Amino acid sequence: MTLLSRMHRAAGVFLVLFLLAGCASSPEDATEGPQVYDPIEPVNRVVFAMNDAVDTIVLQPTAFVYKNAVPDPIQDMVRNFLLWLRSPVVVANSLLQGDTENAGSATRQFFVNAVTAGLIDWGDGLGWGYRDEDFGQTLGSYGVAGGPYLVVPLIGPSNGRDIVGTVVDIFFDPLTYLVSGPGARNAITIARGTGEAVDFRARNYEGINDLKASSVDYYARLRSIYLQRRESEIRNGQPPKGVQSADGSEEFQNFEPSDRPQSVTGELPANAN
Amino acid sequence: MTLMHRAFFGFLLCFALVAAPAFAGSKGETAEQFVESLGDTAIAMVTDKSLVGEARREEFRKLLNANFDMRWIGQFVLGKHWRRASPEQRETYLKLFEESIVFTYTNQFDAYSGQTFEVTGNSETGRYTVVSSRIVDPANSSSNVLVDWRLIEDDGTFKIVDVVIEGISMGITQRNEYSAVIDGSGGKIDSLLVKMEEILENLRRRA
Repeated sequence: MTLLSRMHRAAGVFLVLFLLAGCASSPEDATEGPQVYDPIEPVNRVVFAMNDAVDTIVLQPTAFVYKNAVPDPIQDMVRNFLLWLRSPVVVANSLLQGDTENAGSATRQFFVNAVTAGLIDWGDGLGWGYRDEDFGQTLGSYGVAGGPYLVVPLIGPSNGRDIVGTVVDIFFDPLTYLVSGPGARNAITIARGTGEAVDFRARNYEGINDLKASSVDYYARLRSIYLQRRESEIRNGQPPKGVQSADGSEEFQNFEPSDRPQSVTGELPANAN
Repeated sequence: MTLMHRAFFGFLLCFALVAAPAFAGSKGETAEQFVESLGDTAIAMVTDKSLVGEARREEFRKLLNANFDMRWIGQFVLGKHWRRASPEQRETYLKLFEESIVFTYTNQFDAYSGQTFEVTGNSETGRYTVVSSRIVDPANSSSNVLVDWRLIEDDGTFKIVDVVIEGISMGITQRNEYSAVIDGSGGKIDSLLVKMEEILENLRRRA
């Protein structure tokens, strides 16, 4: 089976999920986590548990060795290279969002760093940075809702919109057209995915371990973090317009502490205590 | 209503209209100063190598209760389940909630490596004042972390009710997580308390 036919099949599956999302009603209580919409939670939890096992058995030990045995300058080069490979996708999506400034920064970075095959980031510390953009964010910026929350094997948290985005981004990636033959293409996809996973896990080694250790429900915590983070990335870190947003501002506006009859910040609700 | 009354209220209204924007500005600045001084105190505490173990946790606990409205946050995080909780469950929950925060954060003190803290602005959203800030890592200038602080004002004193790190609200995250545990066990608040106790035990062991 070729990569393309596999993609077609995947696209079919997600179309079905999208339609399901459209039919299903909105999440239970609008004031309790408005953006959490997880219709296939039991399936997601199984996939999540498998991913977590892979993390514990394979990824975490690999990242530990990588972090401690590989010299820091080499680790930086790996990271620079991975970011450099991604930059054409950032350029394409920035342009689609009408953000020529970010597209310009990413383009400059791509050509300047190409001189050293992407291994060195020549713009580091010069304020040349750009935001990461992907097609999931592009869709979001045009008002496409996240759809159902999904945990993808080996990849992790995602949702309907972002999975479509991930597939579309493959077409924005020059590597897709430069490499011939599905064998070589798959090998590169796997190598790159592994590299990104190890790099990410190594840079957030303690952070992820602490997050896991302090969670009463690691699945629910990561779900909430993923959804909020994506909302924020779509808005490019800007505060939402108005309080009628899915980022939780509304939850704060609606919240009335029940033990504060005298407070200017909340009136005593009728059913308090 | 007499003419006198009307004149008085007219005057009061004018005064309020003039005073309001000026007051709002200074309120935002006061909130900024509040967060700024909290940041300074926190960095001083983190870098104080003589402060270890229970003494460090006690200092942190004091700082937490002086600057954060823990009862407010605890209620927000428990959400719709707060109303159903018995007074005993509420007290147990609030205690566990505070202790998990104390252990989670004091356990990470040693990860500090010279980051600085700067306040960058403020805004009003509804009932809240939001102070924006930035944590700068001198070793890696491109990895700034943006942190927003949501504050309420009660009788002229500010209290923090939420911390938003790179768009991720700690309050919302905890609320989603806790409600997943309670809903997953058929609505039993005690099952959350048991889980929280287990996690706290883990965190104590890591301390």
